[in-house]
Order: sequence, then structure tokens, then C-alpha cells
Amino acid sequence: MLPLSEPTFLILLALWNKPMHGYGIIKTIFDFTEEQYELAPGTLYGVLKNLEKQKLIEVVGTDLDNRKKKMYAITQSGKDALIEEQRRYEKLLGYTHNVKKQND
Amino acid sequence: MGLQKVLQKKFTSFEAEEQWLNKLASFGWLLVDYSKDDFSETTYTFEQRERAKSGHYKIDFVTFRNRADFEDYKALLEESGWDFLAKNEHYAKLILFSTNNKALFSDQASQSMRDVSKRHAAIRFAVIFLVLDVLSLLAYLKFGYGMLMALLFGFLAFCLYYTFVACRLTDRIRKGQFA
Repeated sequence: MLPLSEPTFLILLALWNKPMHGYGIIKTIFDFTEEQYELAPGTLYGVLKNLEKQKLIEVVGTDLDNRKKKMYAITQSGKDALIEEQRRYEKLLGYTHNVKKQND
Repeated sequence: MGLQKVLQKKFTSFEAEEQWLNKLASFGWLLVDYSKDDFSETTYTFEQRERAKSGHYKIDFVTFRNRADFEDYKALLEESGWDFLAKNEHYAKLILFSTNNKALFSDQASQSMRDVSKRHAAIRFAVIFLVLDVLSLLAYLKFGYGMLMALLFGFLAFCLYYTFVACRLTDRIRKGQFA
């Protein structure tokens, strides 16, 4: 499961605060990455189905405006995986800064 | 309704199929319907439309568990600007058309998942035909009807065909990983 791919990490992060439908996830990632990362729908859907299988996210209902759109929510295991991955990134960044500092 | 054209064709890769559709689109032929044939020859219906020239095709392959999954993905693709032609959840091959320049897949790894899904579907069919084959063999041994022998060979042919398709996809997936 770990390390998480970049799309997987971003999708879990987008769902951190509230449940969302597929297109909402794309828009949220686009916004918080300052329009740097526009996740393609084919990639998103594949990752959502995988995350659902691994129980890192779950379907919690459908959108009130369009009953066909499922609402996805992060589970506690999903939150744990994201936190663990964040720690891994922070460690890697720490090593990077240390090595670079030796050169300065 | 504009001028129509109906063509039948079979492809061994999604890339070749996309290229063929894009070429027809460049001549103004827009796909308006296609048959639900994921492994055999597909029937494509085109109409002469100006907007065909300003778009491109992309194909995904998804085995839907139910109608709700199908509707959810359809809504997502339509909101993202893709024309969606598959009629129901029994369509696994999704031929998509878009006039904006956006991608369907963000990276090569997720694009190759369509080959992985198709391989799963081929393996499932191979196993189904293998089971049918064994059942007809057992029935033949018990009842001895000649017709059961014919069925046996028919099922065996299908089983071998889907096994061949699965092997070819495995090869493509492996090549993609090391490309």
C-alpha cells in the first residue's frame, strides 16, 4: 500500500475535510495545488476504485443535486495512511536539507 | 441527421483503435454509436459532423459491478468534457470523445490499467469456457451424444482464444512497464 502514488496521495488529501463526488475531487486538487495539478478523470476513477477496495475510502451516499454521482469519504485507515505518508515525505525532505547544508 | 457510415472492425490494441477513430474524425466522421463487442468485431456508426474535426478520441476499459458504478463514471466523464457513448453497464470498452485538449489519463501507469482490466475480463471468459468444456466432457462421457462432443470443441476454441488474448495483453503490459 505504501508508498502512495502521487494521484492517490492528492485524492486522500482532497477528501480530508469532507466527502466529495469525483469531479469535486478534481476541482479541489486543482485549487489547492494552485492550478498546477489537474487530475485526469480516467486516472481518478481507477484510483477511487482501488482505494475503495483497500477500504481507505468509502461511498457515503449520492450527491443531492445529482443522484447518479456517488459521494466518497476518507476512512480512518485512509487518514492513517495519509499521515504515515506525510511523515515519510517529511523525513525525506529532512535528509535532503541536511545533505544540501553540508555543501553550503 | 447527416450522412451516415457504418463500419465493422477489430483491433488488437486501444492505441490502434484510437488512431483509426482520430483519422476518421479528421475527415469529419463523428462516432455516434458502437456495438458492445469487447473482444470481437465492433460495429461503428459515424455521422458527418463538423465538430469531429476539432476533437480527439480516447478509450478506457472498465468492468462495472453495477448500474450505479456506470452512472457515477459517466457523470464524472461528462462533467470533465468527454462525450460518452456507452449505453449501459454491460459496455466495458468506453470510447470517449472530447473537443477540449484535456487528457483522460494523467500518466502512463494509469493508462495501462485499461489493458490490465481487459486482461482480467479475458481470463474470466477463459475460465468460464474451461468450466463449460469440462461439464460438456463429463456429460459426453455419461450420455455419449455426438452433439456434446461438438460443444466440447466449441467451448475449447473459445477458451483458447481468450487465453491467447490474455497472454497477448500480459505481453503488452510487461512491455509498457519497461518502455
